[in-house]
Amino acid sequence: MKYSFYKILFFSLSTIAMFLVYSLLGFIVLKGFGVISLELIFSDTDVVDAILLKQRVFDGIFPAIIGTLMLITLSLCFALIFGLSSGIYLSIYAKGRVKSFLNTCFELLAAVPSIVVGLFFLLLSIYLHKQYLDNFLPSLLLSSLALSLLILPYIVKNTQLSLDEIPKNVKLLGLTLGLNTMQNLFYILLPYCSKELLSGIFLALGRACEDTAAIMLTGAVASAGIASSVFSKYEALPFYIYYVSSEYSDQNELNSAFGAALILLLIAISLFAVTHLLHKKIRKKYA
Amino acid sequence: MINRIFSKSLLLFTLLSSGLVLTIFVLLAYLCIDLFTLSDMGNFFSFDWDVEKEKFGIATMLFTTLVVSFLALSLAFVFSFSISCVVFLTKSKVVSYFLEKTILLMSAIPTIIYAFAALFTIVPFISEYKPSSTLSILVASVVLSLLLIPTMSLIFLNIFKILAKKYQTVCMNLGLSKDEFFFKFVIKNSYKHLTQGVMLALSRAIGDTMIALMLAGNAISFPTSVFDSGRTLTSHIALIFAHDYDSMAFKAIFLCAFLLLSSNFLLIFILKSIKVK
Amino acid sequence: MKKLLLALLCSVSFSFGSVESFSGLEGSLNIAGGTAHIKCEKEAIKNIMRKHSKISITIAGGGSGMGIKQVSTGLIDLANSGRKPTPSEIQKGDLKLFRFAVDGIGIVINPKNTISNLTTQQLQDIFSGKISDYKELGLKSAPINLYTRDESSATRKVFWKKALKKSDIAKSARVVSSNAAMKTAIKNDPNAIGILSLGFIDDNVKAISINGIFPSLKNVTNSSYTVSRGLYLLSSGEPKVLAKTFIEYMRSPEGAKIVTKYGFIAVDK
Repeated sequence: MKYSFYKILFFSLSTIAMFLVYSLLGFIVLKGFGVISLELIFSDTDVVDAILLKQRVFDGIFPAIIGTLMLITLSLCFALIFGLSSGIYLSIYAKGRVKSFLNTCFELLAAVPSIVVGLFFLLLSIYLHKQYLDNFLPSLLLSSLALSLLILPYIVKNTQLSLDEIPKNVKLLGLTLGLNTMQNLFYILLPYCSKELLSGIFLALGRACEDTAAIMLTGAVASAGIASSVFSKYEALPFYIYYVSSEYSDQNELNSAFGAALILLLIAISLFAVTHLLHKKIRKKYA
Repeated sequence: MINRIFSKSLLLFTLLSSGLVLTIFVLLAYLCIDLFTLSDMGNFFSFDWDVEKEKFGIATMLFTTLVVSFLALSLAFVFSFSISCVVFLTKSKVVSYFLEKTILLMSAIPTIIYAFAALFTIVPFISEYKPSSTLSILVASVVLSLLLIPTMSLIFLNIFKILAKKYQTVCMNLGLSKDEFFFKFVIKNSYKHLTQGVMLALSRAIGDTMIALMLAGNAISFPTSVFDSGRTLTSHIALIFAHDYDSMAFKAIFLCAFLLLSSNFLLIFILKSIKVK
Repeated sequence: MKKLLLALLCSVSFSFGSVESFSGLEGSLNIAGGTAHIKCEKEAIKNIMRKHSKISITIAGGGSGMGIKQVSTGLIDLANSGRKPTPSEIQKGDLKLFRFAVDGIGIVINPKNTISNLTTQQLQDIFSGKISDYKELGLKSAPINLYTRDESSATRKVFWKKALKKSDIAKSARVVSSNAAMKTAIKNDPNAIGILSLGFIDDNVKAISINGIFPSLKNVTNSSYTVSRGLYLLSSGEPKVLAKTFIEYMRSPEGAKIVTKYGFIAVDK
């Protein structure tokens, strides 16, 4: 009974925090649910035509949704190439001081604020554009490069950990059967931890779809339609929400932002749910 | 042979990606060094930002960043510590399940959603009571604290659980109740991890842009109370970034970015040194 | 035969400076800068892109100052500017100016506020922070919440020069990043005072007279309201074909219709 004061204090503080979180979330869900409709997404354009990209959508949030999906897929591609190879190298080949140095580098990378990453890529584009590449302007490509740098540490860490956690007997199995390190990696180790790798990918996608600060410096704009190539500017859900929240001129526009917020929330939560489910399966595997 | 090529190419990719972080740091440092020789430091570390009068002091933004992060961090610490304690102590499975799942859910919620929702709920609520205050440091700090809760709570809970697994039976056998075990043993032995959680959360708080940008009001005056509007380093970068490519204003932005980056790096190194001990 | 000729003539005369003049063109055109332009350009772009699927035009905000810098460095094709660039800016970026509309800048307050007129002296005192309570203007006591734009903004610059006569703007003023954002902020804050492009003024905010002269389009046209400015499109060097066609479209009768619809004064060349 000695501690009941603390317990009551802790309980009420937790309640306050939960109240704040759920009232903010509930607000978005309620407002968003009330306005979400095909018209909000596609405006007056025919749905099938819009999805088949036959017709352009104006005033709807369809371009922003597609923009976000394109953005996270592209940045995942870049991040996977570098992230997987770095993770594999760190877990299997790297040793001693090189390993701890590289590990530190990735920890630092994870701590770089997203706005600084955005600024860095903006500087890069200004410089390269002036000197060599005429096309290297703020664009879908530049944004996805910036985003891939932001999600890279997650993929590296995840790949490294999942390879490290493979039981020793499995790790040695292939080698004793006469496979070399590379064959062992591709035939045994990577398939063995495929679920872990997949969960890392979904985690990274979740991170990528929410970032706003980096993309607003590197090519997201308020009105662009669906990007026709990686060198064009594009629309994205989080930027759209930010833009409308400060610039809305009437209730309709604001409503569409509530719809966009709900959709973004759903995308983020479902990506996270997949990660979570995969984790559960993995825990069963090792249990 | 192919084996060696493979491992070498892996190394190449690794060096490229890990090298990028150093590139960013060196580039920003280089741009800042350029700036220190160009003019007196006093200008940049003064409290006066006025482009029309050629004054580029970013000390106010630095101060606001510190205030917002500190406020958010203290709030978030109080919240996450309470949540972790409740999860650990409660006898009700429903409560602990609910809290744990909520923390996980919170880690998935996009920052912009918090900021956007707060703009239409918390902001009008506060200005109802204090008409001179609409967007303010207080609102930004409260919302930012929500962002930090999952980072901290997950670390706190983790260490509580590890300690319980190791020592709970022993302590119970010694005649301690669960409450006593928690307050006398667990908390005292988790200081190090609590600090780690706080450090990690602090680096997130310093680096966050959207919440400060959307909720703090962005005034460049020196804030005198939490109800005042203020501008953090991150939102300063977002607002000025493309204003002027070769002016002093743009160079002051590099200094902002450099300060942000080096403070976060410092935090990571402190974190690492705690781990080693 | 006559009818056919007439129809042909009509189509020819209409095709000049209308959406049709974009036919055969393709590629992308990036515009950024001043935020007063965005509403009417968005409508123009919608008209154009509906008809011509190979053209894609994007607009971003950021303020006139940023637009001028970006077009000078070649990051965008056309800049929106709500003021005439300075001679040094023109020289540095080899800028070509195309004015397509005239706009005014008004002082706006929340509709609940009862002020209807301010003198230049009062304006200067309010914006420098000397007057910080409505009591000093003879109203019920309430704090004055001042709103201004960022330094890149031409609305701020022109207002500062022409209405405030270059007197200080208080640092405690809240900063918003576009005209639309200003309107939103003023609408939601009963104690607000801010500056806004005339094209954005509607029932949600209330414009007030300066020295007894109301900021209406009529008063801007006959030059009695002096806080006015041109809306420009800027290019660095001669504009490329697509950019040029877009400029021509904005200055054509069809463009003028859009410009007038959104509350600006259309100009021909």
